[in-house]
Amino acid sequence: MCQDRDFLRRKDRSMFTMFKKNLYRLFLLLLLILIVPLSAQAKDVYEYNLRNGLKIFVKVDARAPVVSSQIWYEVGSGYEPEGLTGISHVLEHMMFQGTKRYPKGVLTQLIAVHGGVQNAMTTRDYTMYYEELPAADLALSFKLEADRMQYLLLNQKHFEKELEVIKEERRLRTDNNPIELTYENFYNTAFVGTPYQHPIIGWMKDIASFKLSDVQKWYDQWYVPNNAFVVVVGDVNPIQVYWLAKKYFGDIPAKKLPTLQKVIERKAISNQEIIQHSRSATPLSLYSVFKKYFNPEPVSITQTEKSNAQVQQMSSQEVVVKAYAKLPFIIMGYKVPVLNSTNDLWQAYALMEISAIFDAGSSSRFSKDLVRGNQVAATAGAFYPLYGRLPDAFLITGIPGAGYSIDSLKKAFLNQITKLQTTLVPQEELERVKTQLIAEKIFMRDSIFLQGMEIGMLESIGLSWRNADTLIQHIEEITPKQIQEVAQQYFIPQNLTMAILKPISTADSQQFE
Amino acid sequence: MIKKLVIFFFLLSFSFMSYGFSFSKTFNNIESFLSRHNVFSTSKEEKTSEALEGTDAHILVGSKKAQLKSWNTKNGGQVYFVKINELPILDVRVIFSAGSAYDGSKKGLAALTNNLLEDGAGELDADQIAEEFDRLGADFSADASQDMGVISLRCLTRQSVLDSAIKLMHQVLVNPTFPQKAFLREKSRTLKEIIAQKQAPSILATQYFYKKLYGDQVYASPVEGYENTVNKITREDAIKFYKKYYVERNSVIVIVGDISNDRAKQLVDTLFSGLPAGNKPTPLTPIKPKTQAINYHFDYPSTQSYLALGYLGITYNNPNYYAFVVGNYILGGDGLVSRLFDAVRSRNGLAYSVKSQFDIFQQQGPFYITLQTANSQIDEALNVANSVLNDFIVNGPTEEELSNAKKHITGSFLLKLDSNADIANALVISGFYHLPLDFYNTYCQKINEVTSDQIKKVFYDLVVNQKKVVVTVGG
Repeated sequence: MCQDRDFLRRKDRSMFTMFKKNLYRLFLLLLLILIVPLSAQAKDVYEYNLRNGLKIFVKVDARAPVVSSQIWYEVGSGYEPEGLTGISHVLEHMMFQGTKRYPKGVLTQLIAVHGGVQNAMTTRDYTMYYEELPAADLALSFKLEADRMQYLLLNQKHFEKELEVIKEERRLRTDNNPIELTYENFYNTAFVGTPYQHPIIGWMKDIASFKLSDVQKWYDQWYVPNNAFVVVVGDVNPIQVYWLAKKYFGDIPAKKLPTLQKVIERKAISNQEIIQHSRSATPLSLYSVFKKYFNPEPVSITQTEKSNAQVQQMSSQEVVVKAYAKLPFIIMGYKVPVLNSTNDLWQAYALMEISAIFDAGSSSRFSKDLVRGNQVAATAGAFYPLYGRLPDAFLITGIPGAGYSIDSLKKAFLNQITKLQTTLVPQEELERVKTQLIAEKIFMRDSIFLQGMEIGMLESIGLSWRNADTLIQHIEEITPKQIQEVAQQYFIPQNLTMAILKPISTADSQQFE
Repeated sequence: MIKKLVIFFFLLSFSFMSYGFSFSKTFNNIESFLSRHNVFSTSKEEKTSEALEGTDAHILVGSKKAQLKSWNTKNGGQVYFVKINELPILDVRVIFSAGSAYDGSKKGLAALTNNLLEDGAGELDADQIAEEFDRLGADFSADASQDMGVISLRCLTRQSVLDSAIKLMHQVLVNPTFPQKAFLREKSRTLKEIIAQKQAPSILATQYFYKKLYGDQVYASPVEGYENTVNKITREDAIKFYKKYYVERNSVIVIVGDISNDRAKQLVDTLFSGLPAGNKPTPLTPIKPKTQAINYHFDYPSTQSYLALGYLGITYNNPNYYAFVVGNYILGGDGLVSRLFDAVRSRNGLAYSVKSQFDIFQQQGPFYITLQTANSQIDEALNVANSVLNDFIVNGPTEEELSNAKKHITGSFLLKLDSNADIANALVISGFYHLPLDFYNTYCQKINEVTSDQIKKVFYDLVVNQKKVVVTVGG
């Protein structure tokens, strides 16, 4: 339920007039008003809104006196124009370099001595900072996050050092990791001209060319309360969390966000649609909450600096990555809608189910047929980003088994797809998938961090957290026929991009810089 | 499926660009080991219907207590059961002293044997076993490490589901069939895995470090083995290994979750029914330190160089264990506030990931520092790391560092047992390595007793009395 503080206050006043002689009864009534939301089931999430647009989500899990406190900024690599790739990630690093009140090193030490752990992550759709602390120290997390949302000190010397760290990170994660290089090339080819083309960490040439003013601008534009929300999971009282958030974040002014421009892929350039999407600074009304829940709006991105060279893909395409490696590797990615980008929600759920049919558990088709069966695969996997912000790719990946080539593995994957397109999935197999998903959901309650992530991943792309609770029910509603339809519609050559890692020996190794 | 979920979250964001360290906790690191042993309490006490023989203890989370029962099975298996009724799930781990330390000359045998257990049991083949676990929504896995061969189950506690899952787990444990086809396939996949490691320079650096430090003693070889040794392993080798090490006398069982004492006892009896009593393995011989310092470079076509530098470390029963824990946290423990982090990354921008750690086993595991830096910077990075270490062992930590470290370790101790999985992992360690039952309850107090002088002395002695091993992999 949406807890609109103003709404509650109006009610209080009229109650007070009626019961002004009986404070005890009034107290009980207030308690009742407050308890009504609290009497909801333990797994409910309490939502609050501050006037400046910051939303707060609180989930009670009183197993241990600890709390996972997360702040999510709705900006990631998918918001970055050409030339600025990796800037969100750089800003994430710079957020640990100190503020006026908490100079470099003080923030991390403060969390540490309070028995906390902290970290952050940048993805295509969001940048998120988290602390795990004893529940009694939640205020510290809010204090520090509110402070660095407004008063980050961007220092040239720290910046230069941190850029060097980020270059090392890129070298560690990507440049010297042939699998990661293959993924990078996959997205670079499949999503050319769109926000998901470039890697989250950015291209090395962009990283090397950043100026402090780039970071300052990105920070000023995107790190504002109306572009962020807080998620708290743990041994907390939701109302108290609200008051704490109001205390630390309440006075931070909202700011108008940059205008976002929608880019539709694979249409002729002249048909480019432009949708303005500016976030309101006022608290969300109940209507808008439900609107979001039932009609997810795709969030758009500005690409004014791109050449917009998007062409409709007419057939499958392939990129070969030659890098020092020992084993070949293939990524086959089919362009697909995500929950956030389609009005036919069932399609997204069907795709989710397909990824489970292929790759969930040891009895899944890839394990059974490809790894154990004819052993054409040493490893084989499938992945579908249900909660992505923009249309994405359904990934099928693998390393060939002994004596088999990439070509054989590719054919085996295509056979699996054909089978899905021509033969209905037996009910028993769907039952297994459903059971696994249900069990997984229960197992996830063993981690307050993951529970927080589940809320945040949905909200950061403009979908209500409630969608996580309805996932299993939606999956259950998918029929074998629908699975077949979705496979026939999307797993076609025109949607397919392949990235193939061809190992080369030392003698032929490329240099990356 | 849990693995799928973790991968799902990981891949959903496609890649974590985390400021600090990698998302998955390293179990080898002292800090995270300790963090596993969080004490947990439940709010309601259970009325036990039948007293189990053995020992009653409790585990503390904050100020709350959870019941910890331990007892021995008929043939010497050691059981540790923590009753937690927050979630309707159960974690069961059966651990054998059956790790790669017992490979002998057939490096990779322990891991391969462990891998094969779920590929055929009784009358069921791999497909049937997989389907049954998946049908129950149960997470079954088998893992091997340097010391341990483990089979694990995570399952809902609903009677019919749990009973079926335990029955199947029992079959896998007691009647594995090692089908020939599966054996050849798993061998082939293991070879691929070993080859894949050769395109991961970070892994190579650690592997070479272990090899150079241990020479021809246990722990020298990777758990998966080598290509030439795995190639020679036969199905009979695996069966023999299984029969020798997967026996009741060699076992530790950890159960964490929402079942009664009765059910826990029944569960154990079911799991072990039919398993031979067997014998404990011959104890491993203590490690002999190096007689000469080693500087080893492995050429690799990367733009970065990968460094592993260190010595032999400790075992859990080292009398200065807590001093090493606190000292390592200050020096280069998991976090954003260590000396190594500050010097190598923060001030000099030389590396993204830099840390020190103790890997702890039945015999001495290593104490080592790792980092990665551009090839042109490796000498500088090595100098910085060495000077940080030298300063630390000569001057020890400051009082402020000591105080901050204690606050963090004791403060985060309470927060790091916030899940059944963490508690289960904690008991695996304390059970397998024979730590006292109140190890976690006294942990914070012991941490607080550590002094700066003690830290300085133990690290100094460790370093000065050994020859250093330095391994670099890169261009």
